[in-house]
Amino acid sequence: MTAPPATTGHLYDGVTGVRRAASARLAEGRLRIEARDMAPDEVPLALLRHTGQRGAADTYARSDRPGWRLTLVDSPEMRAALPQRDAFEARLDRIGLPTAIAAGIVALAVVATVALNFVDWVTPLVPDRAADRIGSEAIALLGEPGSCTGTAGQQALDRLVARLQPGGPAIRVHVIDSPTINAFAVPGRHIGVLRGLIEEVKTAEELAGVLAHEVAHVEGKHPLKGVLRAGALAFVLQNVGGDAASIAQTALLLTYTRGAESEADVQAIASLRRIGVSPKPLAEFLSYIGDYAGSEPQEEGSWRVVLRYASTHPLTGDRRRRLLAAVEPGRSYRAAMTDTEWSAVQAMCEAPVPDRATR
Amino acid sequence: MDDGGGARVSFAFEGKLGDFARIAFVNLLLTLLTLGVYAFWGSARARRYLWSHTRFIDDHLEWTGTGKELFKGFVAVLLLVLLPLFALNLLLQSAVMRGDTRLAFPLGLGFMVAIFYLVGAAHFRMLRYRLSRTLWRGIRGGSDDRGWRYGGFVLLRGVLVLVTFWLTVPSYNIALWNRRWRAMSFGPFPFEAAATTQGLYARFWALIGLGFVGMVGLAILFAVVQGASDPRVASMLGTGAAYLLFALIAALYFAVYFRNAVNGLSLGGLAFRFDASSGDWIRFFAGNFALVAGTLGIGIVLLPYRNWQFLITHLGATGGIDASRLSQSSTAAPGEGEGLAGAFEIGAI
Repeated sequence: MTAPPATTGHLYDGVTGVRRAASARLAEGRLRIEARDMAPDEVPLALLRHTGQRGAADTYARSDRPGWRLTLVDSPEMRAALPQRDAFEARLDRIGLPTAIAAGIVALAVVATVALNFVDWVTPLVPDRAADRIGSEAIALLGEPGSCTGTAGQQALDRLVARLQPGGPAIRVHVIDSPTINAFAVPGRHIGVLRGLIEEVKTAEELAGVLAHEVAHVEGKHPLKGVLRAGALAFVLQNVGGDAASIAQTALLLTYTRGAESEADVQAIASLRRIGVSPKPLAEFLSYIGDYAGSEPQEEGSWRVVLRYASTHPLTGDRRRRLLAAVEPGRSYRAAMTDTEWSAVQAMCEAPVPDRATR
Repeated sequence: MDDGGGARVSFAFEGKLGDFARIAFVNLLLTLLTLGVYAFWGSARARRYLWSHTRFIDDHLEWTGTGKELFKGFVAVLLLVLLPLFALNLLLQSAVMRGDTRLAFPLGLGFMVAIFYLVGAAHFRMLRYRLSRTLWRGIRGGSDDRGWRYGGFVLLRGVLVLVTFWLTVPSYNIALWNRRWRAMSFGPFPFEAAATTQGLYARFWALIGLGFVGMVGLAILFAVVQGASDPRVASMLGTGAAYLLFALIAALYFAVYFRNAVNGLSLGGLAFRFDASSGDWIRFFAGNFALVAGTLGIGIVLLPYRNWQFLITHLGATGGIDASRLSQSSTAAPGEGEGLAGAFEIGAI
């Protein structure tokens, strides 16, 4: 057999850092290596791995000797005969800069689009039952069950909300015994009304306005969207059996996007118009609560402070103007509920009097 | 080795930004297409490029780490560290929400201690992993210490910083650097770390002064702009200026800290030197900022190149290393990558 010409280069043996001039030639499926101060070595090609290329020099490692590196210079024949560099890597290396930049930008644009629209795409996929479970959990976190359960008042609220709804399954109203002035929607078909709000509004029409706004949030699935926005990952974990309470907390502390708020106002105006209640009391309540929020010292030591109406519903001049502009001059508006119903609602959180409970 | 002792030997970086950009953008694309999984392989590929274009004396470095071991490190940390921490955090939040301070306080404290300890250990383990995967003349580095005790050291020094109201931060930084590097070795030679705080406290106090003056200036600027225009514009301007101030302070602190740290480091007959001036650091930070802002963020993928280039260009050494005494490291090489460091977002390269 005629031996092919030797290829030269250098060798590190992985034992010391000494650099040795070396030459190598192929012999029967092995690489025969001769280096200064070393006995000739024959390495099976299967042990070799291509680790790098620098100009005309190729470097090989052997799998049984950590740190062993043989660099061979300027031999296309040898390069062809020895193990090749990783095919996938070689392919990646051939991608040019313009292609790489363009691909990176396109990929980033796709991801940005997905991220921006994720909530709108995913919301319809969430089963109503799952959303409702989060909502119930949120309500349960706040309310001491059974504290505001005057039957007549509950029925009056249910009737009002049913009229405000454009359709769909009934929205449940939960009156919660808390001095905070607020009302909120949670995922699913639930609205929470805090006792403080019922005490603070001057008329049933102001309450109707607030409820119309919350009904619109429910119909627009805004709370669910907010939860999804706040924590897609947490939501996934919840559905595989995680801690529902944390998501429920998120649901309570949501603030909606400007778009969602303004959509809720538009819908609220439409539903108030349909049932013949003026939007003006809501506008007045908002101005009142706006001034009130600014002047009143914050309750100390209570996390419920964060649930104030003004903190979850930004009070802007725009909102007030829009509501006032929707008042139709000359139209005679109706009451949101009868005086008897309104009294019953106001009495909901009072200590239950036995005779009223049985009446 | 052939070089005589006492000579100035050096590091050189021979990379090209365009070549690195090809790797970085392809990494970005593949990472997005694989929903993040390729990031580990991409990071190994980028490092192979940076290491192989770094020459020390007469030979290039080689990065021998793989994407697979980085991925394994990540999975291990996800299961053993991040998920328990996540659960602890959920517990903590629900305790806070319920106003249960008797539970919330110890939970919160435990959470902070755990994070602090783990970040410390992660720092150590990242350095150990990187040295163990860095080959020069066929020889690698490493450490036999796994870094868990170092985490405890960081915690204790951290308490000292707390009780001195952050006034001992320079000592903290230098002590940690020395402790970390003293546990490391390359080949048979242990690193010696004798960094001091010389000049660092002077810089630290000056920067506290600068920070104070800067904040007052910012407050005045904010008040003026807020009176004159849209409050949203004012708050954006204010935030931007505050970030710039913070970056300036960080650059000026790092300039002295890193010089002290590296200048105290030696290995076998080699004494390391770092020669970046405060101006170099400011230009470096400003360049990074311009690169990211000017490309609407996408330039962030090129930062590892700039960071490595800055490090290597300013890194030098005096003395020499005896190649015949340079033998293979006997340290145990860690089986998986720097998952812990990745989890806490440390390590810029």
